[in-house]
Amino acid sequence: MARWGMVIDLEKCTGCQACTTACLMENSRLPGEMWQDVLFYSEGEYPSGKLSWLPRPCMHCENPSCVAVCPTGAAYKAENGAVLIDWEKCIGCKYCMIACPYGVRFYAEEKQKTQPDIRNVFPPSGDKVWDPPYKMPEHVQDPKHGVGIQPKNVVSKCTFCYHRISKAPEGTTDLDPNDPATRDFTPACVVTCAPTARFFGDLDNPESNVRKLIAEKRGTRLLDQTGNRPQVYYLAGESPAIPETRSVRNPKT
Amino acid sequence: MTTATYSDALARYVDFNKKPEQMDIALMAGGALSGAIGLAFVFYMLITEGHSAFNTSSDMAWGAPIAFYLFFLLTSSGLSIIASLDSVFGLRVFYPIAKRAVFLSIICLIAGFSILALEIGRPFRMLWALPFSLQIRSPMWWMGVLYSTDLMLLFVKFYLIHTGDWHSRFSHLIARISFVVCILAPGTLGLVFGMMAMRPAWHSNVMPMYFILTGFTTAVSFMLFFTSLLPRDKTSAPNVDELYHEILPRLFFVLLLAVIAIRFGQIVTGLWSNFEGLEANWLQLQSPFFWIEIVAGLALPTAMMAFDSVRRRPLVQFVAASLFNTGIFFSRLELLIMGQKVPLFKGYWAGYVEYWPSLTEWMLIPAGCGVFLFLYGAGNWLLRLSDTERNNH
Amino acid sequence: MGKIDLTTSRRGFLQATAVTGAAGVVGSVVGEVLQPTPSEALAQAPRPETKITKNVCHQCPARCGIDVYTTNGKVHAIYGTLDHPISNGKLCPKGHLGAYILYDPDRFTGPMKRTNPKKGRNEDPRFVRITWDEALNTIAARLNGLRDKGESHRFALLTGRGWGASDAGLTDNFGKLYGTPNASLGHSSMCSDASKRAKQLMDGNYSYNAYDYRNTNYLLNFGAAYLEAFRPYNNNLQTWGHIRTKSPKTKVTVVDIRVTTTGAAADHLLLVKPGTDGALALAIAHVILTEGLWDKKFVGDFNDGNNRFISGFSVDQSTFTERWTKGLVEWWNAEVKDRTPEWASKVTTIPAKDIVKVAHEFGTTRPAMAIFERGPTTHTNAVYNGLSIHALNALVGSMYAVGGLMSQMGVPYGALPWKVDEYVDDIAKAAAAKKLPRIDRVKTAEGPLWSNMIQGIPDFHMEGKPYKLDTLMFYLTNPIFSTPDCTRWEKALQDIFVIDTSPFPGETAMFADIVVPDHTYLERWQDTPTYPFQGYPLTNLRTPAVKPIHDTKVFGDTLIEIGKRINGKMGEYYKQVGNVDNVLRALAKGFEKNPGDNGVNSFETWAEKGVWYKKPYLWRQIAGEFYEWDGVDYRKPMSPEDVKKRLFKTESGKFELRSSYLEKYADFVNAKLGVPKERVGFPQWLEPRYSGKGDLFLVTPKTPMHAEGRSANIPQAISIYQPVSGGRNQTFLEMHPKPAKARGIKNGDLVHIKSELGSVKVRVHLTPAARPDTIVLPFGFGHWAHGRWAKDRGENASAIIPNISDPISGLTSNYSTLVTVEKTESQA
Repeated sequence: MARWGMVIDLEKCTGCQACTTACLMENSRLPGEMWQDVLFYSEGEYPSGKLSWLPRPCMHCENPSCVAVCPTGAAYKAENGAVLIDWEKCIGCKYCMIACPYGVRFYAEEKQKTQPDIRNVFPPSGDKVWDPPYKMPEHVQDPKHGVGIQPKNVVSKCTFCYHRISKAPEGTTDLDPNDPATRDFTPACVVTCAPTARFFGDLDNPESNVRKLIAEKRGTRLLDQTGNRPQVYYLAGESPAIPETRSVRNPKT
Repeated sequence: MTTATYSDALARYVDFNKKPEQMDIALMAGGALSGAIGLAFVFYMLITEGHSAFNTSSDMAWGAPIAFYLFFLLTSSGLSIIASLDSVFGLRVFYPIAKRAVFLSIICLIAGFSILALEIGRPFRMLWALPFSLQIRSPMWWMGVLYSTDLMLLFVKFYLIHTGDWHSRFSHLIARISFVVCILAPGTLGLVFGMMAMRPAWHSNVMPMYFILTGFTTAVSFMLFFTSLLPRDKTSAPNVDELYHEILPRLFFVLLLAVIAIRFGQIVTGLWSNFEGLEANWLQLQSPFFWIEIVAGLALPTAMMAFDSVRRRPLVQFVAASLFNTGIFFSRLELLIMGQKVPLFKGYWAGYVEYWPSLTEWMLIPAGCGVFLFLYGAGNWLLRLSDTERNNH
Repeated sequence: MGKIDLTTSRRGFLQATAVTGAAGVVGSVVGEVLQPTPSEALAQAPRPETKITKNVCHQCPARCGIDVYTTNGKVHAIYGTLDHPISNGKLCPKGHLGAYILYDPDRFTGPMKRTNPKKGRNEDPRFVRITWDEALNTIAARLNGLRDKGESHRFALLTGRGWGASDAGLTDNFGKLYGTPNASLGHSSMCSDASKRAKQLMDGNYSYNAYDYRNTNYLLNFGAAYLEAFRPYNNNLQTWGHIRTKSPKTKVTVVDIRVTTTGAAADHLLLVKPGTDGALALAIAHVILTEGLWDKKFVGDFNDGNNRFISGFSVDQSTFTERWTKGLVEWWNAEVKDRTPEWASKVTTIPAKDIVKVAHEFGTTRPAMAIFERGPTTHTNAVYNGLSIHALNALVGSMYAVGGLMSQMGVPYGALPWKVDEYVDDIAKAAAAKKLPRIDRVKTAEGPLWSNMIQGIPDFHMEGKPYKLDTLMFYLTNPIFSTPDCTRWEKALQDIFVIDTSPFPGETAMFADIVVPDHTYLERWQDTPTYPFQGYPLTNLRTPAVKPIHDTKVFGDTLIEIGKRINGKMGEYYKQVGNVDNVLRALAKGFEKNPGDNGVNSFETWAEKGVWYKKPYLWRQIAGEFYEWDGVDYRKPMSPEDVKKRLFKTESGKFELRSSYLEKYADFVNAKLGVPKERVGFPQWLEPRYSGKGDLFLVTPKTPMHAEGRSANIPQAISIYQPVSGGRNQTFLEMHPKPAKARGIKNGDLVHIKSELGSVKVRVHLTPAARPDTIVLPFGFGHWAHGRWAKDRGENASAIIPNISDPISGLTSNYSTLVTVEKTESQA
């Protein structure tokens, strides 16, 4: 079985956030529940100040600390490499949110930052967080893999679009959105990425395009010192739009 | 068995004929009122708004409820240690407070678990999902296992001494196991935080020790709080005055010094280091919770406990214990906030995570304390908490 | 509508793709047959059907072909159409959110009638639902009444982002038949009219350009938010990924007034003083000429090959022979010789060495192109800034070259079978005979070169000059919110009968007497020809993904239905037309003779593919020679007459560096802008007139999530309004710490931005990267209507921006406002 991984070429990324909205739509996320976010940084001062950004999905780590801390086994590493949550086991203790070094886990039971609260506009029937008309079709939803609209009081996260990638034919090395044969199995953020900054393929296969990109373009991993060993690689390239640090405040302000 | 035999059986353990003292009535009434108001409010909010009634968020996943839970659980373990000083280490001077400590330890655990049940997303699922998962890599799993064991052992221990069995082999075995568990449990709770390398403000191998130490200190403080002014039965123990006027306050003083030493180390290390995320140590200087801990929780009680002539006075003990309890309560909250204050990869726009508990979260204090005080009043009235081994010999 | 079901469908969302995938999801891939793989999916029980319909996104003008995924009658996903030349299977951040527009809970559920006669921001219109018959009859009765009184010109129809002959394109005939010059009033004067006008004055095409970005090696970008709002946004993003990683990598220099994502991602970002882009362009031209870097094959050369362009010295015209430009030496003598980098440095605040560096890069890299849009042109010197920048494209020979600029070709639609001229009745003829000007005074002595003047309408109406309007219909435009000094509309609309067609309860609707709500784009049939893209003709067809979820009617049908109810011949005409469906089928007839590259040759195939296009672009300039496509390559040489007819549609048939067209208006330009008459035709530096008495420039750009305002009521879009000064859930005022400190303003403080028109209260985000003399408040916030999420979120800077326009093009000068900023008393 393939062990899927993603490569993000920062030289191409324009910070447009189409990945963010494609994900919101594909996975029926609440406003602000951005499984796939783009982080922006403002550094330096006029006339040499800069703006930079970093797209940040779940890293689907090889050695995920979120899985290690889960007291019930709801957080797990799937065979195909995705780090998932079994919504039927999650108790909402939120320890995984504490333990994820990348801040990519979400708990819907919080005060909605965008008011009015959309959950009241499209109230759920039964044990769901909300029920919008544009939700993922019922037959695609899959709570054992954290796919679809989550039940109340459980943690949610990026699934690498598990409902798509898990349908890819055995032996596929790369999921190329421009190839009609693999497009529908490719994660939403990769499908839509207009500058083609995202690539998705089998990290275990030395023939895969993602492996070649990592080799040729100096693939690096975010916060690799945590030992989590992400399966999302960044190609730093020469883009000026790459953050210097992860600092949350510009010291000049 | 018939109803009559049930009540007969119960009457063997509970002294319903005893007249409650005024203070017991006050504790039960006050506790019931405070607990009822708190719980009613919290339940109402949770039913109508769910956990959105809390100000916790995906950025500040653990907030005040977890801090309150920590406070009660660590105190419980400390009380359990006190209860073991006699039976495990043979420090007979502690016998007069042993039973009370076991009882307090139990109700602290109950209060803590109650708060956790209100905080956690799916508390009922936890009951089956946690024990059977065997997630041995998760410190939280161990925490669940150890505290559950702890609670069961405390019940057994209390039953045994309540029924007069202080010294059977079984009783001693239970006491020893209980002691081990009540060291491991807060230690594991320390690991829940201390193991998190991705949260630099928490990441420390001292965290288990810090939790055990502060839990024990709080326990001593609790004993002073509940025995200095509040009613306690006269006991026949000969050294009881020495215990209340000298040993406990002196122990409290020493422990305070130890807490100050460890806190000083933590704060200075945190302020000096420049690893990303540790700026939370600077940010905590702006937090009122931090200063409540430093001033009310550490400086004042230490000053009050420093002199033998002063610390003997029940009123001083009561005030110092109250101040310390309050301080440590808020230090738990500040610890929670500090670890999450600097967001993990949220970008420049996120800024530091702002958090102030919501009314619902604050209402967990009267809820938890109310339940706790009610149970204590009832226990003090009905369960002969001042029993010592001598009564039964 | 919807008589035929052209939507492709398949069983299962993904499971069965192996079998039906070729016809389903990727149904547009011609002839591609996938090998069926034995997947477990086949064994699964039948799943609900997921339909994919072809549509065109309506959240910006890019015309991205989209696949709309519908399961059980609900739209749940939108992706780019893989074989669509603009979207290529990709989308921008807005594109995915289309379903939120469809299911916006605040939409009108059907036609509405106002029952509160008082109009105002705080007046509840007290709408009551009426039937379509009542709504249409009410409107028709009013319009018939106007015609009976001989006042048909007092009916006006204002349109915005309506596209295609089946939609906004219907308004021309409506006006002609009805008898009003005001049926096709556009909003382009608050869009980008100045850039179109500048291009027309030089190359003769009144249009935005088509660009061959993928082959350019240098992109010099003046104030076009290429990675944020410049159309076609999605395709720009795709192009960016290509040009920044191809070999050789395309170098990009951005000239702007703030740090945008475009500027941040570029190689150089030059932060100019607002409105001075033209000066920078002239200095670049100066360097190119003095250093002999111009494209000699396109421009021409000195007869003896010796460069006589020496800073500060005039040149004898006879020593230079021009090829495809006209007036180079005159321009040099009149303007460029003195426009040194040192001079420009003082005007623009950009160090001279940076200007020289960029000029060298731009002048020595081929192909290169200079693009520009609103940034340099929303100032009173709009057209001259535009001319100065566009002149660079001539100097580096990028007009019609590989990696250069083109013009957009039209679509060979079938003609409509109904002869409109036969239905013009006496009333309409009498109205036309009056030769009344349009209400927006376009093409009057006041604005001979305006094509629209939407921002003037409230004043013109209130002045009663040229006349007062009686009935005003709005389609896809909301000037009450978006024009400068927008609150004027609230006064002007008091005595006008307002018809709004928006599906959403926007500000215009709050002033409407009657609302005849349109379908959203996922519910309608509509043709949508492309904006200037890559030159070759392209047009799309919108196919409804779902039946209209409310009792709404597509605008085209509303207009046709009103037309049917107008007395006399006009009514007969529209009875002939019938509905939009008939129009679309008539248009598609044109494809029978001109099948598209993807095989589209009928209405049915058009709907199946969603797009008709025919490559290639037919003309090309290669090393100073023009060629036409001969079926295989660009090999058919073009005569100068051909070039004039097809490409340089100027008087001279050349790229005019001295605009003969503009010189015809020398008196006007001289009177309005003070340019000496003999200099009017040259690209030149003209000091912008900043309005207001403040000390900080207020600039209100568009952010990627909000470029067209269509996402104002989408909470998911609101939650990610970043980057730059967007923040999350709210906009911030971007301000440099220095001016902030001088005013005692700290990060996060609430401040008042004040102009002579009033003030708005906003929160400051200190931005050290910003120009200290410029504050930035993104446009799009501050709705006081438009739905529960849009309403009362931030403030609208349009309310305090004075209504000043470029006299030549009529484009608003709304980035020229000088304001003051002070901390508010209350910080709550």
